[in-house]
Amino acid sequence: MKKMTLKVALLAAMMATSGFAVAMDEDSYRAEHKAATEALNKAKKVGGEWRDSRWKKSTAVKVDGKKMSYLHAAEAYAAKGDYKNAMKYAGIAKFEGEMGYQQAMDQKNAGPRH
Amino acid sequence: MELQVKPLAMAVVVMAAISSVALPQAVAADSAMIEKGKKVAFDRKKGNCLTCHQIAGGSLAGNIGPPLIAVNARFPDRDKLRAFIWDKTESNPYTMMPPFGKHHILSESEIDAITDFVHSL
Amino acid sequence: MTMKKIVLMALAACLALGTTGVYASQADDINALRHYFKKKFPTVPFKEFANGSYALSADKRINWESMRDFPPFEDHVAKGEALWNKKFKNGNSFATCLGNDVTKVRNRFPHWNAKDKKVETLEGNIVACQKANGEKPFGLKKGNIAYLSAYIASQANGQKVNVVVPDDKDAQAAYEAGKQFFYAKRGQLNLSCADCHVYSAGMYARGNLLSPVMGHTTHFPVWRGKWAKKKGDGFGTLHRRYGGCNKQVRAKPFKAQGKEYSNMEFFHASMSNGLTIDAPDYRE
Repeated sequence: MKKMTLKVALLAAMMATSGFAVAMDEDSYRAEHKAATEALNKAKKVGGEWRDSRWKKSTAVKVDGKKMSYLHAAEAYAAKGDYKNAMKYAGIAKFEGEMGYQQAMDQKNAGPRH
Repeated sequence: MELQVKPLAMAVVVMAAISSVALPQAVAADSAMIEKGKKVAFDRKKGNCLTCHQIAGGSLAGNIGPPLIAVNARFPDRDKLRAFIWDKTESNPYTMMPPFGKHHILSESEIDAITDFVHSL
Repeated sequence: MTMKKIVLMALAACLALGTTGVYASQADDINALRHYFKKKFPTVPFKEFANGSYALSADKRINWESMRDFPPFEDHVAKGEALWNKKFKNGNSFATCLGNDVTKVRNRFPHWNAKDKKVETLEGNIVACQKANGEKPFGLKKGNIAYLSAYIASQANGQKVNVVVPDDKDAQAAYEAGKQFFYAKRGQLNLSCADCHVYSAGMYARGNLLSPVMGHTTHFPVWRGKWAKKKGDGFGTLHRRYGGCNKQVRAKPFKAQGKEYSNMEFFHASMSNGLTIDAPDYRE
């Protein structure tokens, strides 16, 4: 009897912590997704978005047989509860937004040099 | 323009033949990395180096960049070569060469492999 | 001739130049580019630049000429002619918007619309005409818009491109924006239009011979071998080509007939000034 309660208690504790971990993962994914969207919006304002960050015709990542952009892949994984992959692709989208913005700024005064 | 292509292609083949004879040890040292690097270099979705560079063993190469021959002699310093591949815009902002590392076109380990491969040429 | 007369005539000449609205920066850009390509390709005569990379390679030229012997786009031009002649439901037609003389349409575009402060393009005006007459507008990149544009362009064959940037601050700003777009590196691959079509023109990217920018717009819409391998019938507009270029350098393409591409067309077409229209045409 004692053994049983201990087992139940352990199981409950495990479930609670794993649930807690998922919630943590979900929170950090949401933060990363928000940061990615903000970075991409900033890049868009200066015409600096890259092809595979969030363009709806991008074929960069395959999720369940469907090809899509990095940000869409992040959303698809998040919808399945796979926050590890969701984080990864949101991170790529964020990086591309930041680089695209930086690139557009560097090229602001581009012109002929011949 | 076209006239230059054929002699260059021949030079690539000749130089490759010479280097493979002259440097068997260097080649043997990281042959797995070099093989991986060659695959990444020739993959159209990865390095796609043949778009611009002639490389021994590759066909239908472009000529926008210099042919990759005697790289070992031109870049004795492997780190310098790696830095070029990682971000050539650092030394020349007008370069045609994409910044493979800076823009995450390739992963760090892929760049290591390509560096070994190109350095072996 | 008296001194007074000479001075008056010189003054008149200056005024005449002023009113034709030649924008100094545009003239400088055109001259600099002509000079640059003359140095780069000393044996290629200026008028040959209308033929793109086929002016630069004898091998490629043979293929191109044999394609032109039996052009794959004759049916497309015929479809375009039918569209030109067709009446809208309200009795109007494209001629109502673009003018009755079809030979005088292509070469008016692109041009600056001072009232709406924007660059007008042929394809943009085709669609605007449909909307104004309650017709369903064409898609912007291929199909009917390319057929009609090809027919209209073919009727201007032999005329010389002459894009005018008027003496208007906003027009000049649009031209400069288009120029910046052309020269700015973009996308994950960090390449500009100019990287391939100015600085590396005449070089090979794999088996593709990169064409010089000067002469690009003389032959659009084009039938492309590359497009024929995909969905559709190989035919497309200039803005379809812009989108393809942006995608290749891994940049997100902009909307066809949007501000970015229309401004770019203003600059891009200017760089073909003085070259002869010969449209449509085949390109690899």
